Amino acid sequence: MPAFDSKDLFDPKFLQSLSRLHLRAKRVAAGGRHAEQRSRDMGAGIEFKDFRPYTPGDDFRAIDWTIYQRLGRVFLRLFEEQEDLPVYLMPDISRSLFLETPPRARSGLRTALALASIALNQHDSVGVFPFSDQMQILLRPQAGSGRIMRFAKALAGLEMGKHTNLTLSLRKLDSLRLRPGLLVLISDFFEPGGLDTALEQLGRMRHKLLLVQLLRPSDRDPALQGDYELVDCETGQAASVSITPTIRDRYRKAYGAFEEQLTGFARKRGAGLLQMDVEQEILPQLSGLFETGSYVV
Amino acid sequence: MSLLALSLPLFLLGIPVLAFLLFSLHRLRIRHQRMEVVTTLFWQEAIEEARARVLVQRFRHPLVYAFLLLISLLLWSGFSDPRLASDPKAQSLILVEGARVHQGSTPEDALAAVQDLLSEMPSEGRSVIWCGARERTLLASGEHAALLEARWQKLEPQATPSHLAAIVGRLARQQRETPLATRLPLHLILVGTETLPKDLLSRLPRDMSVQRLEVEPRSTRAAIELVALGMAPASSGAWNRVDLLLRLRAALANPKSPPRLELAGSPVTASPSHRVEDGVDRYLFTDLPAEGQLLQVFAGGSKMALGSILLPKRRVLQVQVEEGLPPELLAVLEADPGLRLVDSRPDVRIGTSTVTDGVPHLWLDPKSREPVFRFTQTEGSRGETSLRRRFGSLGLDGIDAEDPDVDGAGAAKSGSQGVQVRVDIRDGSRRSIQMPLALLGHGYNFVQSRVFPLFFAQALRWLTAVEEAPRRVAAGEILRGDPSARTDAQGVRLDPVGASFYLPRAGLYQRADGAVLAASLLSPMDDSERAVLPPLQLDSAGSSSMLFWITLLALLALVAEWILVRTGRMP
Repeated sequence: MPAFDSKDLFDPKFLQSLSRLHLRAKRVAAGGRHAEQRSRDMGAGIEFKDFRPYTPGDDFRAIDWTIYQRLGRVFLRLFEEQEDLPVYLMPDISRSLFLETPPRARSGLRTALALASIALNQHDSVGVFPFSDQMQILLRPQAGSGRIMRFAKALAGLEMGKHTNLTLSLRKLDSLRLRPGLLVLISDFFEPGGLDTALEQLGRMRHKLLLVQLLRPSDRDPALQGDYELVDCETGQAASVSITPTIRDRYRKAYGAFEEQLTGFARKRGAGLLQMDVEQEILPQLSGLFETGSYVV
Repeated sequence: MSLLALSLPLFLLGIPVLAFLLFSLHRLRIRHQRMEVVTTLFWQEAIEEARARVLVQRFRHPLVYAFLLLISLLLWSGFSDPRLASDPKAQSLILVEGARVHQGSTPEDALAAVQDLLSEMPSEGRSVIWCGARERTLLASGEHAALLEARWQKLEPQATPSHLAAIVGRLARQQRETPLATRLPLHLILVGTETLPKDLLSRLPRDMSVQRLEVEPRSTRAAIELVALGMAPASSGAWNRVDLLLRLRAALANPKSPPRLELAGSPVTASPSHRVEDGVDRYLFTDLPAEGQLLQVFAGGSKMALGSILLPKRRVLQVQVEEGLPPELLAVLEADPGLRLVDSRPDVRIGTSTVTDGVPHLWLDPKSREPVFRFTQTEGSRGETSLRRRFGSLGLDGIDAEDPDVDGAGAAKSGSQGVQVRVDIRDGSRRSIQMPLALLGHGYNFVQSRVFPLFFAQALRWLTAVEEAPRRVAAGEILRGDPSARTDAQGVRLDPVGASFYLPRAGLYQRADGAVLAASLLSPMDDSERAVLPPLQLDSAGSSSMLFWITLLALLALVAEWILVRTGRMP
């Protein structure tokens, strides 16, 4: 049973407000479709890139006659080929994203759809690979701005998964041998057992990375006091804890280490990291990411 | 400092017990609030780090334990009701009047007042003594006040004279005789009496004080004090009837109902006349049958008699009168309502013949010219002594102002003529009186004298040996002049060695010869000889409570704990 209603999750106003945002890649991998992203290929683009001497068989239309007149030698004008940027969205749909109010999954899915909308509007291909204990292929990479409603319905139809297994999900995505593109990982990154293995696997991915961390202020500083039996909603593992100021300090220390691990990885890998407060509207936060109107990966 | 509600060992024992109990509770498994969270990853890390540093796994909050222990000990101390004694070495004796001397309050009121007093006093150094016919310790020093009520309920006020003055005197003597080095100040608190003899109070040692505990009437049943109980011959003139006077004082001005009388256990239906004199209710019951029965007075719904009195036995004597007696004598006999002149089966006979049919008789000897009264009695020397004591009531004193002859014969003057009249007492098998008939003649003025009707009325009653009323003595005072052996109501001989003694309680006692003694409570002293004792102030009962300060400390501890919790320094 779907966790959200599509109308509630994605209203038209929300989609419309995304039109001014753009994703830009410095260079996309060769072999893609013709689109708006700059590629390493020389081709029929409109952006001049270089000259080279004529060789038999070259297209005469590319000869720069002005240079020939001036120098008496035949050179060809070369133009930059513009191709698409494959965007692979990996929203986390494990149990932990559906637990609290408002659920993190709502912000996660709206973020996913926002990014999909942005990419589709600039003729990039977008694929959706939600994951929990394993990855599933919801929508294979496809392009076309008219497909946005299809994406919206597909995302809204997602059901709550089981526990998080980011490592396994990344391995599975990697095994698909997709064209290098932008991998957007939308998750709380609460990986049972720690992030070490998952980050190691993430580091091996051939894609550019954008990490969207779904968090809320209480993650960093929980307002709990007293004696609790805390039950992990994904693993069912219970921890009896008497929350004292000391214990809270230690918690904050552990959480700080977790954040440091994630930001350190992003910095080292050159990945983008967006910390999305799920208790706030996502658009202002996304706007922060697209400070100049576009986000360059 | 002393503890009012708990003994010191019990209080001290409670401290480690409380500490151990709280420690055990603190180590018990904590009842956690179950909560589902997105991850326990960071909590697990925090706990693991904490566990490595604690010595005892579950004893996690020593500060909480310290506060709990502090507050619990303060409450425990408050429960034990510690007192700061103003004079820690002083001894306090609470003397409870056990005599049935009502002070405008019921015994229940007195008990409540004493309990209130005890609640303000430390248990060490105070005792409660019941002062009835015998002294009895109700509460010894150090004993818990809760023991008092059960012991008190087993007692009831006794019809015995108040011994409080004697007890206070004895304690004062003991205090004086105790060496100063070992002497402790002594505070006496009297319950149930408001006065003591002035001279006794003036002789008290300096380190001894006497105060009275004021007993407030609390019960709805007003305490009623019997002020006076007495009787007199019936004003109606009926010989075998008496009038009874009662004076009662009620402590509370609630609607009064007349006292209830029981005669030999049966209720008396009589409507008394009622009058209030100086706040005292005066009831007069008239024409009660004087048949020698015990009359008890009840009032205020109490099942305990306020007092009792033995009514006289006044039956009408059957007198047979022979021919030839002077008309003056006949007129006297007919005028006596206690006598009835009969022709047969008389109780006593009066005449000029010497008939010896066993009936006591008064023989007016027509032949004798010698002015001699000859009494024949049957009790030997004891009877002779008794008879001599009755000369006054027989009117012989009125005949002769001089003392009788010590040899058993006396001389008496008869009127103004100065003729010597002798009184002769001898032993015999039956009582009789012989006197010359001529004494009633014109040669003497005996007939015209005031004692003439009295002599014959009393003489006839002496002859029939009718004891109208038992001899009345004062309970609590040494009994003198009556060497007869006495037994109490249970037949126990009271003076086995013949020593002088007193009857301890009011009531009826029987002599060895069967005669009855009625011991009564008499007011022995004039109020002018008594001093009113100062009332006891509760705050001067020897200690001050620390409950306020302990409660304040506990509240401060609670506030401090609350602040620590609110500021996150304590879970």
